[in-house]
Amino acid sequence: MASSAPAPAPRLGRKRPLPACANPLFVRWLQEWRDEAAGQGRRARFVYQKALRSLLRYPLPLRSGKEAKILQHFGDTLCRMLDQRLEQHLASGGGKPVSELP
Amino acid sequence: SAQKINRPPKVPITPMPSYSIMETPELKKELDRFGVRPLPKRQMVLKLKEIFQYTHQILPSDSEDEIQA
Repeated sequence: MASSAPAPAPRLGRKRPLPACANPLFVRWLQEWRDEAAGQGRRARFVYQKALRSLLRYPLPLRSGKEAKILQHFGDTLCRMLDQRLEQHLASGGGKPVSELP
Repeated sequence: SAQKINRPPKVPITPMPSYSIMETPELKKELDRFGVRPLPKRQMVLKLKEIFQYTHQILPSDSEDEIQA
């Protein structure tokens, strides 16, 4: 690549602050399931833990469990669980899973 | 000078990497940082652009402290 050209001075700007966590509900549910599984000594806790690790690295808000399928360690079962939980959550008057930007 | 409250500080804005010309292994590596599994190449490029745009939203500069005399 062009090595002789000096790097241009970076443009300065203000970035819109993003919520600390893009998917707080999904994170909370995965933590719940992980802790539940751990309490019962089920190996499923590793599945939830792995999924949680990729979810925490993903910066975009997910609108559904199905959409989480693109993340590492999110299989069909887990995505379905998230969708079911989301349905219950919305039915009981809970807010949307995504944190809207200010 | 006093920094205005509730406005984020000015930071260097990195230009978007040229995802469109990246090879598949490099695209996979970039997406791995965001917890995303390998996808078809076109989809990986789109996803990386989407992530970049979402995480690099630039606030409009306001006249108060941006205009230089």
